[in-house]
Amino acid sequence: MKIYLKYIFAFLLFLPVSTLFAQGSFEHSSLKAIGAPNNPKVQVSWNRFYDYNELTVILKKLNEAYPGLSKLESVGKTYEGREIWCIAITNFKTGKDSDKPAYYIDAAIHANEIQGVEVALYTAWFLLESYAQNDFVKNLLDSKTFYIIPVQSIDSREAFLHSPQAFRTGLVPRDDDGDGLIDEDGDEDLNGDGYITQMRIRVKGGRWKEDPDDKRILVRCQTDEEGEFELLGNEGIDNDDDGLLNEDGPGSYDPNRNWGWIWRPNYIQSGADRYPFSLPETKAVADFLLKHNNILASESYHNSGGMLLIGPDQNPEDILYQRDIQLLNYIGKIGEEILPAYKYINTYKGLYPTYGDETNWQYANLGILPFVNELWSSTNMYRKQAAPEDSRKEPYKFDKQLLFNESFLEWKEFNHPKYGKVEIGGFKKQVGRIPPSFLLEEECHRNMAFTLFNADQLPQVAIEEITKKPLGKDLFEITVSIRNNKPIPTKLDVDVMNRLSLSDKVTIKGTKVISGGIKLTRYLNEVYEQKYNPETINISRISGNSYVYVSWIVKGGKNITVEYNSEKGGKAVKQLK
Amino acid sequence: MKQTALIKASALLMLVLAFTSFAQTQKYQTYADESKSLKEIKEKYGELCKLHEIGKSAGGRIIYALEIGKGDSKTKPSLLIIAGVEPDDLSGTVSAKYFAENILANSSADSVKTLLEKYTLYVIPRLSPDPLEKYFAKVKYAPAGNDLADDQDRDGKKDEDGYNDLNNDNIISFMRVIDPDGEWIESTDDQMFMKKADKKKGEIGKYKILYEGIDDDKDGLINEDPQGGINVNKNSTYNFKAYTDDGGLHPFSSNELRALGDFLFDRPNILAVFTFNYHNNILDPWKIKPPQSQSQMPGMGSGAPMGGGSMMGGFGMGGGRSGNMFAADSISYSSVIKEITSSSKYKGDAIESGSIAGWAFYDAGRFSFCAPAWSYPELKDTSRSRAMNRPPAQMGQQMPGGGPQGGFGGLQSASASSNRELTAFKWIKKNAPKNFIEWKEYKHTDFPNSKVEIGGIIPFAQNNAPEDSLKNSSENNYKLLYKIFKSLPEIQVGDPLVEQLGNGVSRVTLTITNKGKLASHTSVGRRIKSLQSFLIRTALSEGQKVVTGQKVTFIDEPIPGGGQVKRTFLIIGKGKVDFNIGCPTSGYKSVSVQL
Repeated sequence: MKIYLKYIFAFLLFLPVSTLFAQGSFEHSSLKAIGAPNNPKVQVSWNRFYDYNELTVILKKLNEAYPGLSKLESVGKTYEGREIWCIAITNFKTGKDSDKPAYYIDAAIHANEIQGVEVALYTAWFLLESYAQNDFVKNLLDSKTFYIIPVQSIDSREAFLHSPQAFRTGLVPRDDDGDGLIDEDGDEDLNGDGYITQMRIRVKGGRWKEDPDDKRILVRCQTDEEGEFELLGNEGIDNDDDGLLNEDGPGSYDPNRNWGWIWRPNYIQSGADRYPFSLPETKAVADFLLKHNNILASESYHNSGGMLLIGPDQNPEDILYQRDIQLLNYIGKIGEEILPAYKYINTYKGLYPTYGDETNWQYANLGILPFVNELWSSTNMYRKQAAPEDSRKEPYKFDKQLLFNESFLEWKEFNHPKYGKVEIGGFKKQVGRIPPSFLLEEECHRNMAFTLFNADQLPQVAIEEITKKPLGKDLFEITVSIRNNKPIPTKLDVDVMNRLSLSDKVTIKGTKVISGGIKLTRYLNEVYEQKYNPETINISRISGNSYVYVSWIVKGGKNITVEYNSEKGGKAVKQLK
Repeated sequence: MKQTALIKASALLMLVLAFTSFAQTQKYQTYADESKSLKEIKEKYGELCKLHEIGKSAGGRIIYALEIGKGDSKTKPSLLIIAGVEPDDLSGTVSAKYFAENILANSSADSVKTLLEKYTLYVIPRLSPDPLEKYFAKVKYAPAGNDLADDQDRDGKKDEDGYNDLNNDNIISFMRVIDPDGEWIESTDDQMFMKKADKKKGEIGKYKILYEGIDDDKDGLINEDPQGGINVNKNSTYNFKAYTDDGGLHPFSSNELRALGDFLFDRPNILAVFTFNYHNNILDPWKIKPPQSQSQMPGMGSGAPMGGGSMMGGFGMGGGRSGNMFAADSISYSSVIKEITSSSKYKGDAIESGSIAGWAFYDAGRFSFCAPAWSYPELKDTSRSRAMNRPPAQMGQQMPGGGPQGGFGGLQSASASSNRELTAFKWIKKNAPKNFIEWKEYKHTDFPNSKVEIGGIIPFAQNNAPEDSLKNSSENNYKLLYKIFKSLPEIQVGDPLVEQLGNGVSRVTLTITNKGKLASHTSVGRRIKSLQSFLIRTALSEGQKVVTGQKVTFIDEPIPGGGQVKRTFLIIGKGKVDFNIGCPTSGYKSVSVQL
């Protein structure tokens, strides 16, 4: 009997452990760490990167787990034939995705800016897994739609993840040096360590020398100093024997200069490629945006620098309208709180002018309020800005203290076919612009939090009150007050001024309309009459935190309903009781 | 002396050819008929001729491109001719096809034969076929653009309030409505001609002018949402104007432009582009200058050097270079213009925002020439005319809208100094009176209290040659296009100079001349990366080595017409060395030396 008990006891001990191996997870019986959803249906670790196949699985699993809250579709194919996924997230029971104001998120238009994908995936995962547990998320998904395209430049991001390459461009073949050959001379991993790092050569009198305290660091010599190194550039050989090193690698256009607002050719904006939307990926995403008129605000993830960027991107083509700027300022300032060390900056004034980029096109042609996030700031390493004289050495210190020498490849000798004895070394591509594993989840959550705050500012329109005043002879004056409870108007200034989308419409049903119009204020009787088709009154928009009043003179009618319909402001209905 | 005799002889030959082969009468063809005739051309001249389908219009019509030449066309300098670009320009498509047909018909003549061996010719006779079909519609109207359905009045419906043929004459002309708010009055030159009242002269407007129609959707506006679409000649990236009715949401939003863009960029051998449109840059040459600021469109500012821009690839022609980057191209372009200007017969208007001709040079890097296929002989003025946009309806305000801005159909343009429309009007009244409908009263239900008259120049008539002058204009255009085709570059390599320096070291000097008139390539094309660089590829024998010089030598600066460059190589070792010289826009030549 005792032995039996022993075996039973042992079996019971091992039961939870074997369950662990069977399920691959722990039961969440202990206290929940606040932040992440409790016991998610789809288990995902947020301290690593996901390639195309893996993120496809994650998206499909999320969609299968939450069919009433999500829809997964491909908006088109990349050059190499991969699907550009878009997941639409909303509570479909409260209405179609197209019937609600929408927030759009995308990432990795630049292939080397890889971590935005995880941020976007985290956002999709968090929203779906938290819907049932968190009121804020529930209200958000009941009234708004999220469209998330986690990866734009999939092909070259795959190359970043699976090959030594680390470029920012795409894989559509282009002849960069004009020799008639296409993509014939790119970088190479000469020493086979899986990374493309730097090449240096020992030359007496070279302009670089080793830092005496840390031999890994190369320091530029003073004017009178004699150094011992020259830098040769990225690892590689002159494949096409034309005297130039690595001058024609894959792509080398910039997908984020290929859009349709103030597009400029290569001699003004390098990387613009042939013409707006000449690249399959940008065309597919643009077509998606054109089909979804309900998108009113957006976020695009890039790296790096720790910035929240807004347009306009060129001066003097100042396209931003005053009230739209005020909205961006309001949201951007709070973004600086949610994302410490991030700065809210205007691209032209704070960085450099760019032409033909995605977010400016979204604003100017589609009336979308756009942000660009440059993820990861070096301040994240030690939670403070390094002093200028220390900033060069900080990554080396971080490598030693926090990463245990894993991120820097020591300088090693190599016999180069053209240059002879060189040394190859440098930082791996996972540092510099990308967070280490233990800071990745923080990037994901904080940036998601910013976008959820931003989405929460989207218009929330309700028909507050319908009054019915008898005028005699079965005639009535019906007055409706409609309110937008949120700061973002149902249409931006740029939209109203350039007639990008349709006017908002207020329709009365169930009665015979004699006349109708917009009532200018709540108190006075001034009505701006709409002579034609007064059953549906057109209003240009409802501003942020504002009312609009509509009134009709009608004859009879028992079951009167008023409907509000806006391309970007959503829908609302109220019945007159 | 020999040269002038040769020139005279070839000119005479051209004239003879011009008149002997132009037996067939020219007429305007439907899309279906023209497509059929293109296929017939291809059948007839199979070896010399290919027919490409380069894309589809908004209305689903296939866009064709004829390729004429011998051998490997992509290695030969080429000329591309584009027509069917302006929504109502049928004359251009006739001239373009005419040129192609007659080059082929004359292909056995020595001069033409040589040209077709050296060069390739591409012709797109109808880039935007949708609007041109309205010429043959039962009810003829002036088209604004392609068949893209759009919602111009932003009422949620597309194309719901178009023109109506009220007087059943199968033509959409104009209505003039007596209205104290009106801006138009009768011209003192001719009572039938309408112009805008000049307040400075104390003139008071009397009429409102609208396109023929009624308020179909009962919204208080007339013809505010007709079949509109995109005018492809306003849809390029060159000086694109946003927020217009007919320019497209953004540049290259039309499939027609995308097809053209891909076609041109996929052929780095096309050096010159000729577009039939309403602008003439041969008689009114462009001032090609770099942009003053980075964002400004080139050609508009004074010649300040441009800085900034980043370098792509390791090549030393990044944006940091100062000086006028268009200088070489500008010189080449001007010298050819001088030669061909006498053959350009038809004056044009100011260049359009978003024009294809502007794009072909500034944004696609090719020598771009353009001219109308026909114009009035008396025309002196080249100021901007023809504007077909209707004024946008004011938000929330009702306006009897849907009228043209003028410069079309017997209406003077907004520019007070223009005499183009009046010239057209007088010419038509004298030479083609059927193309003008006299103003006649009509009882209009939407204007019960005002006098309404219908009349004006009929659609297409202002800008297209009367059919019986087509032959003449096509012949004139043939001569102009032939001159341009002939001016493509031609590379000649002299006998290489070999000097023995001892110890097995040889110095080889190549002298390369461009016998043609246009440069070997364009510098703007190199900057855009749409054109390849002029290269010398050196192939050595076993054991040889290039000491100075490279195996691939870039000559990035264009070799101008009549220009010459020399390059030197120091080579160690014996054996045969092959040099392959050239680029797709200049053609290739090979030489060898035996060391």
